Amino acid sequence: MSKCETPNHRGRVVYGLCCVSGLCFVRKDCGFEPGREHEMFLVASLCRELAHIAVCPAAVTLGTRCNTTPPLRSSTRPYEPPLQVTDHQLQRGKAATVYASINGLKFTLEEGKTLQANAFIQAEFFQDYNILEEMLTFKVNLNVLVECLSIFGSRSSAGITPALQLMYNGSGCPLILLLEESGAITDCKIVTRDASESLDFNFSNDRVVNKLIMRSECLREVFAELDQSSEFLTFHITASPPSLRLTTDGNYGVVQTEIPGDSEMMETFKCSSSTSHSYKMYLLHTTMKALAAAQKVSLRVDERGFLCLQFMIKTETNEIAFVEFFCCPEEDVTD
Amino acid sequence: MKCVITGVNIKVFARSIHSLARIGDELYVEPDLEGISFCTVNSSRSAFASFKFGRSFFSQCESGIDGSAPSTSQSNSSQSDAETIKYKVAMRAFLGAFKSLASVEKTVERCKIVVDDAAAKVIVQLVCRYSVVRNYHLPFIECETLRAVYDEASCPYAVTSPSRLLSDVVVNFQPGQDEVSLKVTPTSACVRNYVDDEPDLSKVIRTELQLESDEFDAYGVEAEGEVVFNLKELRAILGFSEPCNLPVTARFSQPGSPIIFSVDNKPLFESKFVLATLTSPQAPESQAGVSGTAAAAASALKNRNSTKKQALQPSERSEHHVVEHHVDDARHEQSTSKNSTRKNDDLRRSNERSVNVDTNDVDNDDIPLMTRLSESPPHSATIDFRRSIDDHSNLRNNDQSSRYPPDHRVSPVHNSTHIRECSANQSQNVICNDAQENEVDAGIKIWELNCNGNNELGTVFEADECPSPDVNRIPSPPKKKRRKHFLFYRCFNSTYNAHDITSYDDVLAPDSDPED
Repeated sequence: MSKCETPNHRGRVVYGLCCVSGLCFVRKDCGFEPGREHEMFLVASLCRELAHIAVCPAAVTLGTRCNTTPPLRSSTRPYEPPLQVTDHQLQRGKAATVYASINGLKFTLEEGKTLQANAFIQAEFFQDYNILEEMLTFKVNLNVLVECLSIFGSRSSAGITPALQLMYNGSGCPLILLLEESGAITDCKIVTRDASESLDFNFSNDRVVNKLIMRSECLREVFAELDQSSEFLTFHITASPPSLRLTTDGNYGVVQTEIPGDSEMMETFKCSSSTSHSYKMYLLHTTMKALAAAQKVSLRVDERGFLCLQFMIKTETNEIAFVEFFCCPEEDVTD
Repeated sequence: MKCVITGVNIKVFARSIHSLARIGDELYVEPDLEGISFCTVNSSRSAFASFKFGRSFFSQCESGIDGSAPSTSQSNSSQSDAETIKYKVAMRAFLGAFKSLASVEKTVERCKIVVDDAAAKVIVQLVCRYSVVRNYHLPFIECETLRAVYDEASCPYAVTSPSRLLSDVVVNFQPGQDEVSLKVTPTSACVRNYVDDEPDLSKVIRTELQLESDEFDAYGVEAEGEVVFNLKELRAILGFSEPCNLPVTARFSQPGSPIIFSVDNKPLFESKFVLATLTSPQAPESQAGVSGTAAAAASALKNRNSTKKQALQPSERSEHHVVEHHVDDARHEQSTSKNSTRKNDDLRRSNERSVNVDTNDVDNDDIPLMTRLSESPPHSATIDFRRSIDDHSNLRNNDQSSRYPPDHRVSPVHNSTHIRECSANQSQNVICNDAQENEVDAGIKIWELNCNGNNELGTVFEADECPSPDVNRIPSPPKKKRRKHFLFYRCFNSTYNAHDITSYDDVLAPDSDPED
């Protein structure tokens, strides 16, 4: 193990440690002051602190050793896969708006003005959740965020789960992620932007006409067999006989799939009046990933025909995260 | 027509549809007294496949045929028609219901197929687990019976083999390999890949497998014989028969006559695949005499199997296979039938590979050109493409299209199907997107494209005006030599006047010819 010292631009000494697991650099003073984005990003350390962390992987990471201004928000999580899963649903290469409040984190992504996807991660999800302001909003590129989260691989191998710390220091500051797995620490700084107004679909529970809750296996099979050549997918919900019918009209004919309300997969079926609305197929295609990971699906239609799909995702520690999709219906053009 | 399939038969049915989908683009559904047949033919009419499912295959089967009643036909009631009504559905539409074999196996509990004559739709209803019901409403058109003309009983060669054996054989061939030749002798069989007109023989990989007669379940070969057929269709057959673990019987006669593969499980179902064969396969020496020089060349070749024994051994079957892959080297001379006599090749080839497709009651007046071209008499219901079209037929297998411009062949041939099947009946709900309004024009168009061999849709012209097919095959004239232009460039100037040369009278050297 050889050691070299290079002064960084601030005059602080940085140790370079060359060891078995590769070249790594350690900052002597880990401060996360704003304006230091241009510093080295990859931090992998074999110092004593790290050894301590390696011993107790679920413990708090380097963040607590900062002796400078504490960040506005810090959260530690022993597991990152659920965050990835929910973020994957929203992945579109666009910027997602992050709302951080006392209750937890909400990631919002929009597709035009017709689809909005939200992922909720409750504060209880985190081991340690601190926020100094009431509400923080910023925009961050979701693709980059997911890639950083998957830096140790997208699936955790048996027994070894990476630890994650998220930090954000206010407007203009980057979103900082620290991930640690088996002694290797990754430090990511993702540039953030100011958040613009998010679309409000004005979907309130009072105006919900129909509501269904079902297990996701059934819907998964149905969605997998949908005719992809069709442009629209129509949801018909009827009260008598109680059923949910999905219809496509593709190149080769009309396909109707019917799920009866009394199927064993349907947990709740509340239909106050029969509705029938069409939605663009490709929008619903984006819900497939969430559907694949979810245990339960809730489907609500309001009086304007807006569809709200909520997917309940259970993590390995039996914690629950929700992903929600709002979808605009197609207007019937009547001549 | 109405039928219900339950249990494991759903999987068999789905697999049969997948197998048919690999052959043709349209599915013909024909209910009759014994059950229901599903057939298809490929676009170049060189392969015909049919699955006949007996009544015992279905848990419920009403084919709507009342065999005893005389034909007092009422328009929309198929119950009292003595004539069977045949339906034609787009293959992709039907296949959409059985898209994923794995999910069909897992989820579908019951499959019901109903024909709704009034709405001209075939309704496939799949009752799945969790009480989910899927209905596919597929439009159909009425059509004529699709039959291939072949005589199975008179085939002198009949070979039955387990599917696994054929699968092992087929897997050794290159994925892009089109045709294979099956050569049988009373004691052994040899499967080779068939190479035609490859310009550079040294780049060709040859594959050959020897199989002993005792590896087959039944081997009825009295004399030597060889046929060449398309491997892609054999793969489609094996895709069905291998999971079912059923033996495949191949019956064939001389080259040019179709080879018939059948996979049977009577009385549940029987299937027939009729494939066209090449009329006259290339002489063996153009295939570089693999068998003759096998022993000498074997040492230099890469062998897939380490056992090279060709002698009969009473050991297990797998060791009898001799698989040789080798690339021709330069010393195999080009046979005379190869490059120079391309013309003969084409003529020969054009006379071959099509199955006689017999359609009853074709209205011959609609397609005057076609019947004129075919040498069969006008009343014959058989459209015998073997003799009709003199050109490198664009009705050949699309796979062979490396030489020919590929684009023109798909749609007009599609139209040709229209001619035959949609003739007298009104087409309801024509599903094919490229349906031509005028069937006669479509027929003429096909002929034009045959003659031109390229993409021009020229004006209609008579059959005898068609230029000889060889016009396109004559090699271009040799390149102009520019040397004389260089030396005598002034002569080629546009201002050159032969009478106006100034130094015409100056003799630089006298004539040294000693003449008087």
